[in-house]
Amino acid sequence: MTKFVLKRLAHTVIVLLGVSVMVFFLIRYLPGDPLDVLFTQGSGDEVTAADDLAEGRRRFAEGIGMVGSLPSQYLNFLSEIVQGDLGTSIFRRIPVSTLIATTLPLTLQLAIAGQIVNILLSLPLGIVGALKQNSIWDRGGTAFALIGTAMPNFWQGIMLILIFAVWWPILPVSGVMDLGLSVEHITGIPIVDAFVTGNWPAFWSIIRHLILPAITLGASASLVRILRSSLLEVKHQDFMDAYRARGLRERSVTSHMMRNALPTTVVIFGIRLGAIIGGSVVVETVFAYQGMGWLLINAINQRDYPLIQGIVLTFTVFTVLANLLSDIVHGWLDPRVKVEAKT
Amino acid sequence: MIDTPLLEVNDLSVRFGSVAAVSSVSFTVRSGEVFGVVGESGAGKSATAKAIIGLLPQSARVEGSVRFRGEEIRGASDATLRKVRGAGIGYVFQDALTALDPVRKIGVQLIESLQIHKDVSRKEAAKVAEDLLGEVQIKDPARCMSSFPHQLSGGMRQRVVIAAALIADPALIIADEVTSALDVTVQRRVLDLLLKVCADRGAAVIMITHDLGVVAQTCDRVAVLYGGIVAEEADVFDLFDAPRHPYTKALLQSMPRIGEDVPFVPIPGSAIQVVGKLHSCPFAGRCSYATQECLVDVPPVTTEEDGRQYRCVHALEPVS
Ligand SMILES: Nc1ncnc2c1ncn2[C@@H]1O[C@H](COP(=O)(O)OP(=O)(O)OP(=O)(O)O)[C@@H](O)[C@H]1O
Ligand code: SF4
Ligand SMILES: [Mg+2]
Repeated sequence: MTKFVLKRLAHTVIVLLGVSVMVFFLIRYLPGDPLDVLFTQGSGDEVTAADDLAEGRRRFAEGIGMVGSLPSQYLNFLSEIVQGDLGTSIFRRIPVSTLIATTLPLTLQLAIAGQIVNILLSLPLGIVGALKQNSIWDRGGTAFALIGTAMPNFWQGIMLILIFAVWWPILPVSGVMDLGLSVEHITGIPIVDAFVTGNWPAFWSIIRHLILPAITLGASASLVRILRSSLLEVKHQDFMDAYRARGLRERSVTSHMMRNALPTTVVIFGIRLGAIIGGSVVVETVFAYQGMGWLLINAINQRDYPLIQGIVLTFTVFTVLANLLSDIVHGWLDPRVKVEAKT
Repeated sequence: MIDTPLLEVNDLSVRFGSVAAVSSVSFTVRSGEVFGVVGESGAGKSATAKAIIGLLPQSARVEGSVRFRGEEIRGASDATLRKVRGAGIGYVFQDALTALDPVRKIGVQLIESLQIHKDVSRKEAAKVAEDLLGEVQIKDPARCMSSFPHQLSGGMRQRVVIAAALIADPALIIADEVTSALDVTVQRRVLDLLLKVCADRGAAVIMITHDLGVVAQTCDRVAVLYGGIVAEEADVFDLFDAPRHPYTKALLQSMPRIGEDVPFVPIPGSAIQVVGKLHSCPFAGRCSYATQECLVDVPPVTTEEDGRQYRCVHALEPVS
């Protein structure tokens, strides 16, 4: 087990290196340069001479390490990361690590809420679909999941905003909580902090703000098909009939079927977590939910290189960790899988 | 009703869509006997067995009657069927690897199977399970109880499957090709073991196989299935001595016999799948005795004085 975790951590480092190379060079080949925005004539209060502007720009670039060849800049960036320094946001002048620390908890909060919606929808649809295969319920559930997957998240979000904010305004559609409310900083995750400090107005406000984005994230019920197909795979195995032949109630047989379908479901869920995190970028932007995804879109629009790099690397770490965790859980749920042997 | 047979199957038919897997099969199994069901692949052996305990898929159309200890169980309520399954009739599955739940320990599965039928504590159930594992010659029952199926060898798993079928003390065991997944040396031992354990408990056995050698060595009576009908049913010695049905004879001749100089003759052609309702002798296409008469209808059942039955219009002479 320890050996397995160590091996996977080594893999993680390799993945991170690859991602860092890609993001570093790709964003620099995108048209647009952040310094163009900062150092343009007329951008300051007083009219600056072109020479001064160029000089200022040179000094600024030097200050944030944007001089020299790209490969040497990359190596600098790498050595700073190794020392735990993600750099400073070009526009916000705040360390990238601080920005991530304040937005990451919001993203986690939203992602978890979205997955709760997903699971609540998927469990009944997937189980009924597998038990009553090809029935109306099964076809309905599959169609629902298919439509949910085919509809882009941003479109679903906009439709929900239209319905619940414009036509029938009962839910807030942007932000994390109502203006004027705040919670004490304990864990950084607002809903948890509001709960432990007993700050009920903030707590309810946070929940109300979570509803629409969480539905948008989770309503695709992406687990339905995974669950249904894992259950169907188990349903037709001999031991199901062997259980019945020993006189088990159908209810017990079904529960054994679910227990058997669990490992596969968990693994596929883990593999898909990357996509789920990607979905949060879009949803946060649509609902102005100021988490890490929303910050990423802002950073990309401004070509805020250090911030983009920091966020992308953080997303990568989480995706890899989620996969690692699901593999461990898989080995724990399915005795046939030897976690050590899998790498 | 002094001597109610253990199991009476009457006019049992099974159809999968247009495929007639079993057509009007009847036979009787008495307490404690070993009853063989033999036939080529596709003859309808498994379909018959599964129809008896009501485990065919929804798509199957089942007709006829199955009485266990005089009680009709064909189309019976779930509650009735649940009581019979496991405690009345035990079913040993062909493939031992897939007949056990892969994610639960052997002990838990055995204990569960007993507790459904008997009001015993977990501890008592565990004791019964361990003793039974010892009885089916598993060397370290305690260790086996806490193992997962994949940790056991094929022979061990098959013993566990036998134990699972026997644990609630059924009066009848249906063994559907129990050993065909094992290698030959193990096959014999597992089969003997199954018969011994059943004999010790006085349980009857329906031994389903395509191997006449197994039938010869283990069964009291045998039904030969072909194309979903019982071609012939007889006492094992009588059947081997003097088959009355051409298919039985062909089957006997196709069986290689060690130490005898008779050449073995494979049956020409291949087994059929009956589509639609059966209107002729299913064996007609491969039978060397076939005449126009055989194609008119399914041959009626002929019953002899000693109880032997066969369905053929040109039955072979009773001398061998
Ligand atoms: N679930 C099913 N759906 C459709 N047809 C089936 C099904 N099960 C069996 N059949 C058909 O019914 C016929 C009898 O099958 P059965 O399984 O009873 O044969 P068998 O004698 O047990 O053969 P084997 O020795 O191969 O196990 C075959 O023609 C088979 O194709
Ligand atoms: S009924 Fe005719 S075809 Fe069928 S086994 Fe007898 S002789 Fe052969
Ligand atoms: Mg079969």
